[in-house]
Amino acid sequence: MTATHIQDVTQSGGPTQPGFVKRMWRDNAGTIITLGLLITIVPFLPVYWIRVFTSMMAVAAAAQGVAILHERIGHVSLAGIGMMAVGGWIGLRVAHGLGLPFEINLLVAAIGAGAIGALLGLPGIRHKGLIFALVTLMFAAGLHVVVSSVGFPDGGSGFWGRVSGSQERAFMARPAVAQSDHAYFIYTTLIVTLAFGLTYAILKSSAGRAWAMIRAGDAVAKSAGVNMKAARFKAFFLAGALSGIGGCLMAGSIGQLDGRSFDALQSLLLYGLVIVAGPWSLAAALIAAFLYRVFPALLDSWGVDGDIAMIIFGIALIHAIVNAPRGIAGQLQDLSALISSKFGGAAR
Amino acid sequence: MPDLTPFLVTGFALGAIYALAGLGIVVLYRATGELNFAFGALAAASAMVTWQAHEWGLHIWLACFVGIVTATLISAAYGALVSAKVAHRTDVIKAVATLGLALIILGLAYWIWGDSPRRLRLPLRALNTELFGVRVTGARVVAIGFCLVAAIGITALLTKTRMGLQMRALADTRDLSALIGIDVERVTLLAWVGSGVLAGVAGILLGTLVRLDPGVLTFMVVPSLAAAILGGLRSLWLTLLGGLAIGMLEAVATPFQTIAPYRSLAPFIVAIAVLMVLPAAAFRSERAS
Repeated sequence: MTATHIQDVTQSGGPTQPGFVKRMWRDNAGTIITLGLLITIVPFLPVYWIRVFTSMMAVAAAAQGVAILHERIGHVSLAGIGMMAVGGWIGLRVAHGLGLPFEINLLVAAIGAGAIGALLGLPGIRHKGLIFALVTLMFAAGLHVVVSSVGFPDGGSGFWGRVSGSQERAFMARPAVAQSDHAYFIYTTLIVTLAFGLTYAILKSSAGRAWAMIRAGDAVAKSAGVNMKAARFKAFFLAGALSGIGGCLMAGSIGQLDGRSFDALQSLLLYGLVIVAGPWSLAAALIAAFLYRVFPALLDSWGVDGDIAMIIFGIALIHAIVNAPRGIAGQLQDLSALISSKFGGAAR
Repeated sequence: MPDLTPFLVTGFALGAIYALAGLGIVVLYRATGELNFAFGALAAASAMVTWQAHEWGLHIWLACFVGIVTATLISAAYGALVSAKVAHRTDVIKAVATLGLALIILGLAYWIWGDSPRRLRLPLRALNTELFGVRVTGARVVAIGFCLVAAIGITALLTKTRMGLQMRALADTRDLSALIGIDVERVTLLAWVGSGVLAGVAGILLGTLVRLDPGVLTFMVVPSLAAAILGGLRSLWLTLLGGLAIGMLEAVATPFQTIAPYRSLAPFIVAIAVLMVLPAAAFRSERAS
């Protein structure tokens, strides 16, 4: 049982604990400041970068889902990007089929992807570790075949919602309040921030405490009276819903989605980056999404081949597993503690 | 009903390569408890290096040798440098570590070769043959033959040789094997070397059948994993049959217009079904059980 989990179990609520907002600030100050900085700075960047950061925020939601499954209930999901495709597909289908407001599409995508995530999690009730990881990998690979063949809804009729012949493909409408690229980035960041806040609240609720028990060991959780199936089901639903939100936000950003962007290797890469980032922290999702989406674009803009990013990720993943299990977030936290102690010492 | 014979024969050859890769994955998993997600990337490295060496003027067979040696050396380097450091971690963490190797190889391959269209051709026309009235290329004949030889060879290695005995002992309990004097690191290294050789051969054979693209070849690991799953990650012969069945299942869907676009789904559906039906204990590495 790691220190974080023990803290989760022992410091969740209680009369002597500070209020929820104070605790959220105390535990996630770095993440909150980063989100604030992003909302402040990114809208002033060129359109290309605004779109890259919007995509990063969408991926961050999916990364959060992957991190929760890994860190909270000890399951490896190799279908993070695949579940984004599910959310994107549902969001696009509902948007084109019913013409509902974007927020309703987002909610339906979250619930739909959450339900499929929970279904995908059914084998996770029987299998843990490698076997469940393989189930999710096979699911991601199969899903890629389907979305590559069928494509994403683009305003056509029928179940798949695909246009045929010379009919023009329709784009998903953005929310009324976020038509421009910079407004949509702010909108996306606020939605993802809200999702992170809800995730944090769940982690501090009875469900979060149940997950902490499961992570400590099945025997521990059972002896504490945790309903194992229900607790895992909730985690899979939450992870799926987060990916669904990410997929729908990405669909809203581009207006259409391409099946080729959702291959199984992308899901594997996202999982690897979550490990590099340090899945125990909420900040990990942001770091992983930054590495996944922004870092290769940065390399490109500096004239460095984007494929170098993959080499760096591979080295970082092996390094994280062998030497730095708390990942980048852990190293940043250690650095922050070191700086605090230096300044604290100087002040005294 | 269309005549399925040509598709079955074609699928048999593709399945043989899935099976060969599946064997490489299973033999390493049985010996070290490491599921090698980098198998496809090693295969890609072998095929790309073979193509490059041939482009530089090396005779094709010598180029193949260089390709296989490259995959083997990378695999051995991982086995020597990283494998021992993650030996006591869970199976899933060990598998994720190999994903790091896959990313490094794939990144390097794309950096060096990009995704321009290329073809790898082996001078195997003399082996072209006919099976049930269907023309079978030499490369496919070699794929089927090598797959069978590999299955027989690995079975013999594991059951008839001292090294195989040591591998099985290592698979049972790493620490006890070390206590009774088995050179654990050497045996682990040899398992990685063997897996590297199989990846090298599989990469070259697959490179003659599909587009020579690092990503396409790396992705081969997923249907090969499906074949290994059909073998319960343990049985060499079930993996062989699983790979062949997956290849043929994919191929026979080709003439049916409604399901043809989804034929690549076959390995994943079959693998998920097997994972859902069989008990978890059926997949544990011998060490874990």
